Amino acid sequence: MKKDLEKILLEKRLKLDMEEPENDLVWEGIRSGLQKKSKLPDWFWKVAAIFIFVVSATYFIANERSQKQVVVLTLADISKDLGTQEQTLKQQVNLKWEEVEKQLPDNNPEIQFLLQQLNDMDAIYNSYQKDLNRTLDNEPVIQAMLDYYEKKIRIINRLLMEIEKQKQVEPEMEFEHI
Amino acid sequence: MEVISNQSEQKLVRLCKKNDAKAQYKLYKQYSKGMYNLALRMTGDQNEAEDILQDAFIKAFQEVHKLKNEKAFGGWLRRIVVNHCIDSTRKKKLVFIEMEKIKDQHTEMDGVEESIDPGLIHAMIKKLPDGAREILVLRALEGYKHAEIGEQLGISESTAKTQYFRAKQLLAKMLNDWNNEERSGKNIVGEAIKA
Repeated sequence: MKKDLEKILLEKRLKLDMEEPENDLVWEGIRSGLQKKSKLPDWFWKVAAIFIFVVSATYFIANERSQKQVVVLTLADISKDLGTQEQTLKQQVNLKWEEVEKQLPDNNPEIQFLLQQLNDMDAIYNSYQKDLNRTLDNEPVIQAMLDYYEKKIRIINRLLMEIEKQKQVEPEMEFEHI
Repeated sequence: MEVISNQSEQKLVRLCKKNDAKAQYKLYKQYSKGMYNLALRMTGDQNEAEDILQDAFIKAFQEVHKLKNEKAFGGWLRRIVVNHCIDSTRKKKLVFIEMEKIKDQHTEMDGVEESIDPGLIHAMIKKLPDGAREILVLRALEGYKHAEIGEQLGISESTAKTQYFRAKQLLAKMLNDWNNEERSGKNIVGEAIKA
């Protein structure tokens, strides 16, 4: 009896697999193909890419920072005169500071305020130094750096005056107590 | 053929994800015959079918970690084999059959003896011309839609449809001719399979 070919194909679909491949040969090819093409999994390459990126970025940033840290310009690097001027001012500051340091009283609000101003000025000086590194021979920056020493001397002078004032006030108070 | 239960097949697939060679071999033994015959019907050539079988298994084992549904390994592998066959087909210049005498409709010519030998069907599919053979296998045996076949082979949906009807009629004619000759006393089924 005749039947539609499409139906026969569907019915006999599983019985159509009549032939056997050269199993040993094909399997050998598969094994060698897998060994040859055996590649690392995708996640490995992702991790490797992230690792390389992090290492390169760290190296780049560290390199940038170390370069910035190594090349620190002072006024002496710009000219000998400026260097001498800075050195003289620095010495004056140091001498005055030694004088102040010996007689610094505890817990005087006015003196604490002036000390805080000195710290703030040091921070400002560091930023001037960075500007000098970036801009090199920049007149306003150079002037600001020299002004720093002069301002510092003025603050230290005020500190000395405050200390003197304090010294005068203390005997009077002792006298009152007596 | 050793029948592997669904559960143990899932286990084998999981082991394959860890590159276990024994599991790979077991899965190969389980599926090689079916996949080989599919490739053989698609290509009509033994050497090409074996090459496709080899490449398809290599791809499957390399990419098995991407397979989320481990129960679907068989269907997934079948798809890989079909895709490899289609890639191989694309390299050939397909010459679609011109048969003016055969209409694009269902006719009595589509009918074949119900008791026909499956071996003869397999042998005759292999003998179909390039193009017709792939379309017939994809549609009648692999369940692809005409639009999908057209897209895969780079032809229009209507061409795929027409060629399918023509391929089916041609196959029916070939099978009936062989059957008639057999009735006339020749043992041609065996010869056809061998051929």
